[in-house]
Amino acid sequence: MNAYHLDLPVFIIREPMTLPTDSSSDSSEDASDSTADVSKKQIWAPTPETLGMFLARLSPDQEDAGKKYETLRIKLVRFFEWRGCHQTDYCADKTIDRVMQKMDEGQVISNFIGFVFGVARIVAKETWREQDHERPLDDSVSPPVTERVTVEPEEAERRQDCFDRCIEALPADGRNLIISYYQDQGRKKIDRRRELARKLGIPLNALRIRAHRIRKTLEECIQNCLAQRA
Amino acid sequence: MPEGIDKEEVSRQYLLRELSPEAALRLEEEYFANDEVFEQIEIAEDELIDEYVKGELPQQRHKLFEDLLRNSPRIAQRVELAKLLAQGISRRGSEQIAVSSTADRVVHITSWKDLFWPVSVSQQITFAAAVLLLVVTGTGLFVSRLRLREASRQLSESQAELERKQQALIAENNQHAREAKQLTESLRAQEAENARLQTELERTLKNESQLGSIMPILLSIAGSRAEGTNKVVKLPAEPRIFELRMTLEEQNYERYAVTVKTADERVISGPHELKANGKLLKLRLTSTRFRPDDYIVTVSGITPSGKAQQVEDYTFRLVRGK
Repeated sequence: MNAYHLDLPVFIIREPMTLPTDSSSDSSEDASDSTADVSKKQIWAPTPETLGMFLARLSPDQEDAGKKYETLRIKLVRFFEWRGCHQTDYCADKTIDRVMQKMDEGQVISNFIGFVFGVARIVAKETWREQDHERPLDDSVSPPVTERVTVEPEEAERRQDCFDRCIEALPADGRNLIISYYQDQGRKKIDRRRELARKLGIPLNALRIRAHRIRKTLEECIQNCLAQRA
Repeated sequence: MPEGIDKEEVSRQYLLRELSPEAALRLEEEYFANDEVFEQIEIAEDELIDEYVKGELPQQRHKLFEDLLRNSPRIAQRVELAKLLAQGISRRGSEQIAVSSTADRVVHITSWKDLFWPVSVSQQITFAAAVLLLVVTGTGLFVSRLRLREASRQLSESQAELERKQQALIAENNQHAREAKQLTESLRAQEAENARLQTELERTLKNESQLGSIMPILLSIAGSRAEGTNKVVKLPAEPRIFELRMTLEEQNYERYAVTVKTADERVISGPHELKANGKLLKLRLTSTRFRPDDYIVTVSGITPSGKAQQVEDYTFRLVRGK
């Protein structure tokens, strides 16, 4: 398979990364070593060769490596988000850059994913410290979460239309499944799902995964539709 | 994930930051190493979002979820989508119920026949007269019906003939579709072969700097008078990395969604979520994803609530290089 037919990682291009002079070091051993020896500011930018080395650690097959790269990046973004870091994409790329830098410097890494996770934890700690500095003195009052936005009829129609288009675009069995799966609340919802799993002859967990994947497709479609009609 | 504890509950506790640091760390190690565990957490996120939207979360968890929501534009956006999903599904569900209850009513109406059977003597006499009248009229009708049946048979034959012709047309159509599919497949195979050859060619290049070279493409806003025409770029013969550079008039958003499409709205790549560097957005894509054609790069700003608002369209044209 052609390497260039990969959905090659799309970069958020930044200025060359400046490594911090101080790093937390209580994370996994390999990962903390990766930044602890940086005694002064260095400028480093990834090259296609280091990207190639990184991808090769994910899979020997380049197409598969590209997919695994995307999955790993999504996991990193979610990790930072779920851990309360802002600028999650930036943190994910920073983590990957640091791992690539260490590989470029010839560091031997036995547990690659564990190493990436270790670096991510360090980046998270650094980010929390930066966020603490940025936090206003009086943060006792949290801003309201839900903006009481009145949706204009035209906007509501647009959303509804996108939903209808996207749900119609799903295969019939997927559409029926999602309509049935997400109906009702509380006990009734649980019973309905059990019954649905029984009818389909699959375990409840398999049904949850199936519904989740259909929902993901539907959400992506709606987002695209709304963006196109904005 | 700890055994004996509901996995979904552990994932929920993780998302709401109710887990102990040690348990959270263990779960993180697990989901980095195992895609299935990661998917379970995503499912727990779906459920939390739905329960938040439907007001089903207990007060404490409602508050914790709002903390999460406050720091995550993505989750805020998913909450909006979940509202749309809940409304749409409830509407669709009601439509299904309406259809099934109409069917139920039809079934009931057929059982009303008992109501029409007369009970008193006078009613029975009237009913008998009516039956007699029906028999006489019926005989006349029967004769007409025989004639009609003959006409109907002839009609059925012509209809069957038409159906046969229609079937033949469908079969012919299917044959065309199969041929078209075969052609598409062979075209794809040809493209894959071309791509493979491109890679081989690229591998033979000894000059490594050329191998990793990046081709910057500075894009102008669609219809911009400064440029007059679309940016014209020669598609290189060997694979390269295109770096699309888009200058923003103002940097009003923290994040942007960028989609690359052909002029006929076929999405080539995206939407990609990017962060502007000053007033500059950059996106790298491989040249092999492109063919000679006109392209539109749509840039939308993402509001803190996750809504995409169109900012600019940028255009460029790729022509075959010599």
